[in-house]
Amino acid sequence: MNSGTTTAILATFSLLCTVASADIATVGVGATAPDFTLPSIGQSGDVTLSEFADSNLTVVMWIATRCPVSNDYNERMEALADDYRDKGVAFVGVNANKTESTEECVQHAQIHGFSFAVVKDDGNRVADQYGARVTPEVFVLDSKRVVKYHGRIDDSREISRVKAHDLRAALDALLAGDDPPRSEARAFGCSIKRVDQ
Amino acid sequence: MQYKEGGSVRYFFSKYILVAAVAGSLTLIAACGQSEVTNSSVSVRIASPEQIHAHIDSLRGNVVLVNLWATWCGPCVAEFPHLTKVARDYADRGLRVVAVSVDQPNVVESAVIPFVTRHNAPFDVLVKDWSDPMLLLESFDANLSGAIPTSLLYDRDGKLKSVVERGLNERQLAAMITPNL
Repeated sequence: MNSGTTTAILATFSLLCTVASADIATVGVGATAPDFTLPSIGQSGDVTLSEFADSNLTVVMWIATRCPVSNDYNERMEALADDYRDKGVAFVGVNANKTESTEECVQHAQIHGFSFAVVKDDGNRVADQYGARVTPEVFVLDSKRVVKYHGRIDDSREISRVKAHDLRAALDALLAGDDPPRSEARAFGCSIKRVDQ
Repeated sequence: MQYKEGGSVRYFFSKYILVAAVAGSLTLIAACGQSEVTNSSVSVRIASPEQIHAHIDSLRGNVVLVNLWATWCGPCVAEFPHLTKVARDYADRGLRVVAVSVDQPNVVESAVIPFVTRHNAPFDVLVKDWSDPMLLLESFDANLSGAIPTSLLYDRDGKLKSVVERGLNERQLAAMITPNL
């Protein structure tokens, strides 16, 4: 890649991104997460969170199509959804980035073979309600939408270097009727690209 | 070109290498990184969270602006030229800037060094090692959201005075810095 191309890519990145929102209250562990209805990026109409009440647990994941950190987790997200589907765990991906269109989300989900529902949070209304800040960032809810785990999926973008499988550990513990070994583990990633206030 | 973990390495680039950079060959830069000294140099090293804080502590007596950033982060990339500007403008008044990159260590040569070189950063760039990113964030401030860029300003006594979790322009950076100089 020559320097001109690099500069162009970096300039494009700059245009695509906005600042992080610093003053957003996050729905804490133990609190009841807001219900929401958001349009599916697919052909299935709206998705309402409370419709997952029959699931043992629901994982709400803030994801992105262009964030390098989130994209490093695409395979892991799908593997988690697949591994826990038969255990009654539902996964919902939420894209709240104003810079990423529904069409782009559809293509992204197809390319990465997402089997879980992905919804578009235009205007980042639900991201604001949850206090989601970065991608990827997950909230694990029980059947009453009480937050049982919040934060990262694991501790490394590089899958071979993962030592703490925080989300997996939380799901395993909760399914066994125990508290997660860690109920919060700070998510690290790209800021959600919110609409201007 | 080379880097090493835990130690300071300074990279010097000849005018010929800069020509090569303009021509678009980062590979050539890498191959010729040890060429003769000119007025262009940058400092990049991989460091653990402990080493990062030891470096910041070593600057006690100065006002220290720590910027958490990455080459893949658009707002960070947009902010970087403003950082280099204030670093130069306020150096005489005792400002020191430390850029802490959360890029993966395996992209130091391919991404971090070319970027920092292109901006001729007049400050040290420390790239977080493979350790847990959460530990680094918490070591700075337990309330950090996990989003970058983040700027943290320490006074001359090493006391954390200000935290901003968004990209800043030159004017905003100056407003953050100057009351503490």
